[in-house]
Amino acid sequence: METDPPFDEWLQGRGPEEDVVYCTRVRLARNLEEFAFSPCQSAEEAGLVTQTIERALSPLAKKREWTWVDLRRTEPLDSLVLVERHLISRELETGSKARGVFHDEQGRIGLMVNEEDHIRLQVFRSGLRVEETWEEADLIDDAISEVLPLAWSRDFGYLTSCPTNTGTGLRISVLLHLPALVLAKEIEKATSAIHEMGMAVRGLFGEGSRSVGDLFQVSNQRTLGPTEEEIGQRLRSAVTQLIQWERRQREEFLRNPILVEDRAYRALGILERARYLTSEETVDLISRLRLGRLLGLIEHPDLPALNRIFLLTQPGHLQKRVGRELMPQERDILRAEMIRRTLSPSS
Amino acid sequence: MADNNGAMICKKCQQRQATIHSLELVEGQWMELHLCEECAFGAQPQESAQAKIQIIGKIIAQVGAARDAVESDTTCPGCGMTLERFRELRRLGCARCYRTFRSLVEETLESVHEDRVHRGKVPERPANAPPSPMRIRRLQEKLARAIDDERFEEAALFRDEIRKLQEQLDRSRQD
Repeated sequence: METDPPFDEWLQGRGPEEDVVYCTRVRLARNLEEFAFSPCQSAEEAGLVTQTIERALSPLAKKREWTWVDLRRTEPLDSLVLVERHLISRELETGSKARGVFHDEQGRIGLMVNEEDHIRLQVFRSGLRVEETWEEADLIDDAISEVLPLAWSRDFGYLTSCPTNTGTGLRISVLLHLPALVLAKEIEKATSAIHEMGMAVRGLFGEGSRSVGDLFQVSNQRTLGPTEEEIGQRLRSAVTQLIQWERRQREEFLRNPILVEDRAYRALGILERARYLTSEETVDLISRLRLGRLLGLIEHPDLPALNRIFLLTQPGHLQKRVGRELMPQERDILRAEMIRRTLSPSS
Repeated sequence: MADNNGAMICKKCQQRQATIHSLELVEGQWMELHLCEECAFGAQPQESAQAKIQIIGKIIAQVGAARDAVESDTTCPGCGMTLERFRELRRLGCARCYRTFRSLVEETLESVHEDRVHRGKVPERPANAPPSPMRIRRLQEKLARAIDDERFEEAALFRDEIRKLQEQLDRSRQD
């Protein structure tokens, strides 16, 4: 039996509104006052910034049991796994300058060092927990500002490299699963209404309007002007609206469940039998099964099993498991094999 | 300073007639700046002809348009970011850039956030804490590099910044 990595917070699938919401993420952008921001940073300064932050925060990290990862000394596969766990960004993964991340074991905290801003703190909580997640981030931010002088001005608030983050430096995102709105072709109407409310909506994977796996991320656009609490309230009400629309649409499908049921069973058939599965197809099939399961139309597999497949069959996790880099085709074969084993252990 | 005909004399060379007037924020005080064309453009390090034209547009603003005119000082003393580069990247180079390019920053913030005033969190330790010696040391390194490269105008900016920070630091140590 292979040992699995710990289950990350964002995929726990437990929490308020868990039938629609995967997780809430709060991100704070902060910079050190006395150092140049990334566009004007020399390699030497990058090293100094990273070292200064790592040293200053190490007592906090120790207290909270965070691990420090120096990304210049990390194997590419390990960095990719951190991306798939949502603990670092693609930018931080692919950079070449001095940089790193503090993170906890459960995937609730990822504190990126020397990304676009000197500090990018991310806090994750399963389900819709806007206030709670913000409060946690606020607390960590207080601890940071006790040991590091942060760039802040009375007029503009926290000063960031990009003016789109200036002020609170706060971006709250909620990750939602909206299969019914997508299936009913109501998603564009819904997302443009949310956009009207001042929120950005984008697919978690994929480009343009198509979202692989019916996963959407809703986040605030404005960071300057409203207080952190106001930003949270507005986001919460936009998300609550979206949840209601999704649920209503799901109920609509239940009046004549054969469509959703058929899609779920077809998905199950493919996952149980296929010999070749791309990650994109996998995520889409999981979405269909998840909807079927949530509506009580299928009994097997359960949600934790689906989340497990979701996480473990991503390219980084897959390659980490076999301990080497794989060609895309090899990955797709291995993915199909793993899923077959997970879903039907007897076969 | 005026000559017999009432015309302004350039503050820098003390010879030619000052035709360019602007305001500059020096150590927290608004200072009138009267320069001749030669000295004014000489004060813009390494600018292309195109950039000079843009700068003229800014500098020409008379004393009344103080805030705009300040941005004729296009190089940020904190990090060396130029107005041109900020326009191109839409990214700021350091905390000081927010003051150096204030009007453009405000304009950008307004278009992104429909607001230009922060009402959120105030950090536990205010940012107007005394400057760190590390910051001064880093500026000194930049100053040395600028002198080596014969970028004297830029060097002058760094020198002034160092002097200002050193005074602030000394003051805070006396408190």
